[in-house]
Amino acid sequence: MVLLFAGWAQIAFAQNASWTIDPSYSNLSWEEVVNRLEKEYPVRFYYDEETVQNLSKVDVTSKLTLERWLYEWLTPQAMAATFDDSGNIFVGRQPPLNAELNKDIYPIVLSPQNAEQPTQDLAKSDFLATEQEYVAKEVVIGSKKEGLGKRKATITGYLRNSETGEVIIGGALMLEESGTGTATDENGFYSLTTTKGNHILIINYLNSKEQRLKINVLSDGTHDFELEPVSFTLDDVVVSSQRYNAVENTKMGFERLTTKAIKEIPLVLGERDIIKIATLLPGIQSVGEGTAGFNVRGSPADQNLFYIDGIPVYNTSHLFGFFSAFNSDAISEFALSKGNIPAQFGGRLASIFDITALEGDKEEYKVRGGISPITGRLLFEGPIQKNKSSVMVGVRSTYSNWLLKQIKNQDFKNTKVFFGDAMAKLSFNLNPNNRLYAFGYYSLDAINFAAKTKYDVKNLGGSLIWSHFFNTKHNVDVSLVHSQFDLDVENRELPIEGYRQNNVLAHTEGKVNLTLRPRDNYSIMMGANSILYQLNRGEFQPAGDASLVQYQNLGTEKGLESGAFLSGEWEPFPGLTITGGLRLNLYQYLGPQSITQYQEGQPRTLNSIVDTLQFADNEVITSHTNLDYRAGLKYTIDSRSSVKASYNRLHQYIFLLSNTIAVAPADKWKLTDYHIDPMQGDQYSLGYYRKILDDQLEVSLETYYKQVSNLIEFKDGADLLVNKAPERDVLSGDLEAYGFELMLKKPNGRMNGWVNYTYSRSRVLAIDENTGEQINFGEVYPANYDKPHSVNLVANYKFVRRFSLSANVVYSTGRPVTYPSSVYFQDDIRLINFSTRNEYRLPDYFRVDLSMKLEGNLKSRKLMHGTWVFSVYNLTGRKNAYNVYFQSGDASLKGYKVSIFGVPVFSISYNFKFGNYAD
Amino acid sequence: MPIRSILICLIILFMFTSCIDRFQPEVDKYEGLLVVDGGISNQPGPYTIKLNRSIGVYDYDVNYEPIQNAQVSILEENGSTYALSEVEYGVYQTDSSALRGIPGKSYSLHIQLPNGEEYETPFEEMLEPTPITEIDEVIEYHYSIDEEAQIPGFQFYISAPEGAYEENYYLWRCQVTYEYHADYPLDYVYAGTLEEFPNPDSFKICWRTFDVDELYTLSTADFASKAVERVPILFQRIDTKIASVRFSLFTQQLSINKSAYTFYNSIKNQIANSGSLYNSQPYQIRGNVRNVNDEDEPVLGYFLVAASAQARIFVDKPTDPDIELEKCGVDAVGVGPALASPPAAWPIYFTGYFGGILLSFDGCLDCREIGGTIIKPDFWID
Repeated sequence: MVLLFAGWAQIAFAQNASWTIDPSYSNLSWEEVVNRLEKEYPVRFYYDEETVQNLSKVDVTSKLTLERWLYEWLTPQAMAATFDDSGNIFVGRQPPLNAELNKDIYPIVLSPQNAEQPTQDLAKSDFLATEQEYVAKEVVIGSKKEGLGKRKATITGYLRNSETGEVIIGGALMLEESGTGTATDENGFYSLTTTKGNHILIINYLNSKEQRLKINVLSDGTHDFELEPVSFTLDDVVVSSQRYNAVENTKMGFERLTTKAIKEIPLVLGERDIIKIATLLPGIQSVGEGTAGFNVRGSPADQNLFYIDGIPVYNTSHLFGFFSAFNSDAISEFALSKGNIPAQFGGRLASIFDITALEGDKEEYKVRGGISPITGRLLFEGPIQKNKSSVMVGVRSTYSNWLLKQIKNQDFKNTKVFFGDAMAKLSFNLNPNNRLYAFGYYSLDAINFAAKTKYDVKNLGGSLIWSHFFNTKHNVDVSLVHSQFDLDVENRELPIEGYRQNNVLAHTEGKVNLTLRPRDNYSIMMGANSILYQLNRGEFQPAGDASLVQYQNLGTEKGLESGAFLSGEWEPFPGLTITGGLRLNLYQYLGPQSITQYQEGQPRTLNSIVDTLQFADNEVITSHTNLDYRAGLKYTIDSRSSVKASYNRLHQYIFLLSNTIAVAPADKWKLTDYHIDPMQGDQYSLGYYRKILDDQLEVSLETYYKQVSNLIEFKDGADLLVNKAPERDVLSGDLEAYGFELMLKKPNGRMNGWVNYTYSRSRVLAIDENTGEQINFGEVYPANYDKPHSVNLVANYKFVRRFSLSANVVYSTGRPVTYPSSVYFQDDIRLINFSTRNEYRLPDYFRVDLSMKLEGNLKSRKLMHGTWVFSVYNLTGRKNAYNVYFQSGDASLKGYKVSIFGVPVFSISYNFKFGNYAD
Repeated sequence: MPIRSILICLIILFMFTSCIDRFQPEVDKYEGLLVVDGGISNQPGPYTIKLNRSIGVYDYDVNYEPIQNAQVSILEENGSTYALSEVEYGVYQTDSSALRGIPGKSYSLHIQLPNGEEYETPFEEMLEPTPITEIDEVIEYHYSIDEEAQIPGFQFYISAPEGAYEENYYLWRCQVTYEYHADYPLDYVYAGTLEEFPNPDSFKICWRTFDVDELYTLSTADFASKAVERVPILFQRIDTKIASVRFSLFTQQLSINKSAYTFYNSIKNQIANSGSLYNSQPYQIRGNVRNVNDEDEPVLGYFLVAASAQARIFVDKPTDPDIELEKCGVDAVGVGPALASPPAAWPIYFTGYFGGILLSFDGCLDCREIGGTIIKPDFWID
């Protein structure tokens, strides 16, 4: 092995015999030697300061060539110098050599005949021996010219999946010698600063083959790396937010799941649903089965913001909440911030649900799809210009009303239920520094019950995102977004009250985000955005000949929400990371509008109107300037555990006009206006994260305390259907929520999954101090989704490559409910006097789901690969209460319990793709 | 205008998986609140005010708790005070000749309980009544959560001309009277000895009257026209004895004020809307009665000041051949044991309708057993 090393020195001899060193250098410090040599000869030294710290005193006994002296002086100290043909001298620890090197792999290095005359220039050869494996190819980054005079350089770029071309998030890049490294961010982007010279870079990521590369860093530069996915072993067994390492990341209350990771989770009626899956995560509740949206850490559903590739989606479900409006095939992953929401997001108090659509494959065309009892799906992706640009189109729709046709019922022959959605994404790598994405989203529900009640719900959105990198360290994202939510409701249940109503919310947004990485130990993100809300509250008009309803126009609303933010992450010393962010919001409620003024200190009613003010187009009616701020702290105890703490204050300027138990299909959005103040939320959280059992298990415990003021609550009996003056029915309340979330996760292996327990409480108090108006007699009441105890288990087991079994077990306390407390009579009609709000609870909820996945054969040469998924939802057939209601019986009141899925629900779905299993 | 059908729709969409079961949760926090039940109208008196305490959720009517010995009076604004006297436990009545409500005048109720607590309502104006133009009926088929098949029934519609006010609020109350017949003649009776019944058709024809325990309300506030046309009120299922011969509907149309409308309409919505999650939270609905010394004491019920118009219509049994009523079953096997039964079970009725002696349910031979009377009501028109 010494031979190999000798070989290195030999190269130097061959090249630089004229550079010499003599005894006058003796007793100088290493730095002084380097300075003098660099002045005297066209050489430049590269070394890590740490490694030269312990070098022995410089001792030159006679005039020697530089190379010879370095060799003789460094070798006993387990150090070595490497030369290249440009006078660069790299000093570092001796490459650790492996005495057991396999001759088949290292023929060049080890062939005995070369021992005496080592290879000409090993530094340039394609192989470099290391302790573990050989490294193929050298990657040269930057140019010597740019690197002149600098000791360190920053390399940046993307990490991608070599097969799909998708960026890899959370991939790790590490320099072997120093052990320093970084991870790719949300965009798959990395930035790594190191000394110039040769390094071994190890790149790894789950489901991928580890890459070990020799890199020669000459100056700052860009390089994209690729990782080859492991063809089958882990392809779709992996469940959990494995891409995101809770121990190392600074984020709190953050969950990230990839679509692949959720492939095995059992389905309801064969539909994979990211929102349902999100409710299996800790701290996320829903009011009941088949209800839209969810509740994050005790907040109402309208405090969540859903983004898909930058497009806000205001209606996230199909069929009133039974299915989510996102086709999971066309999604690559989703991330949910429920704790410390990053400063680049504004406008919601509880969570940001950020969905990333699949980026089309830049190398080959792919088609896949599937069919379930309810929907059919088809997805196409492929390059437009190979390796440069790609397209992805995914569509999903109900394919017939066959289920309804089974119902032998006159009226329901006229019932039609249709829903569908489509997504398309274009990605362009314009050049190494510029990328462009265009994304479109459409979803539609057209529901017609017995020709009496019709719902037409549409979401339409488009986004254009331009990403630019400059100076290799920094990047800027510019996006333009438009999203529109259309709601059309027709109701003819009572012909005389037959009505039609429409409502349109348009969201137009421009956004600039700038990320600066001035140094390795801190990064700064800043930006600005502006959202124009245009809300058409709609027309209310008669439907049907018999209707007596009077036409009303509820008018339009306009609001501008602008924000500028600055956030940073700083590591003052290893182990401690501080994050902070400020966001300044300016919300303006704009004309044209006529504003009713009410008497001060009086309840806002028709009788307390004192004046009406007229505002011209774009005239500012009210404006609110608020500062959102957040701070986070992470302390790494050791490589396996960390603690984090965070605090944030946020504001919200738009809310849902909803006073129903769950979000109802006809609920409409409303802007903060002249009368209604923006909601404000504060959240404190503290967490402990640890990996245990050889890092196979991740445990985390997070606690939080949250307060929302100016919570929008509605007075008892408020009719929000056609409400010209919602301010008369609004009461501002306070929400208090707290809890803790315990999560145990096994991200990898044949058996993987998670189990979590959440304790959470959420309570509301609504009293208007000025007018004395109140809800629930001025007493605190639990929120509709307040379920203190909740346990979710998600487990997958892969028996063999073609067969896997998955199960969910879900338990939660029943949701709060208002029951009758006594009965009385009016004119001999039995009436119910109800308890205080949400005084009681429904029976506990419990459900077990099972799913079995069967892959087609594993032949490598075939046209198409198919997968069958058999699912049972609610295996035990427990009749979980959806709701309980009471009716007057003959002699006494009778209670009834409604269960939507009161029996085991079986479903079969079939998925196919062109190509073989591994493709 | 709530959307009522969603739950039914969901149940039908998920008919293969969903279900509704009887469920009686434990509700133990019963409190006996004061309940005021009654009012004054433009119809001739006496007017009745009942004072009770609210009862437990699953209690039967027998547990009704009347409040005795209260001082109850109705006040006419800028006019006299009319004391009510207790005619039954907890039932207070005006002197029929002393007071008759007059539209345009305002009335309030004053109560003093034996325990000294004092209650009153604000003065409420009796609004001008609106006449009823027409009540008509159509045979319709309706859904029910409880039954798989659709239910046939008379859907009654009411129409009224323009009301006297900008916004008119109505409350309709319905009373049903129907004629029905016992299926078989009562031919024999056993009371120790088996005897021929002298007039087998004596208990054949009955009339039964009941109040419909549903509230129908309407506001014309969102309507283009102040007249109301064909507002659906009672849906009476007709696959029962009720529509087997002749049916009469008596409707009272009460013109109420906005506050009373809010009370009754909220109650109506709570009754109709409990099954789905797309309804608002139920809440305690308070009426217009307040404790003079404690605004916050919950008092239930409404002192209703309302003028009314009334109408009665008659409908014959539907001719639709699809609606067939099942006749009573008869039993020969039980005859022997019946004739050996002890005196406690006497009298036992038999029919000879099919020849021989046969047992049937009592109500099939004696129409009074179903709750009716053989005395024809005065208003009845054949």
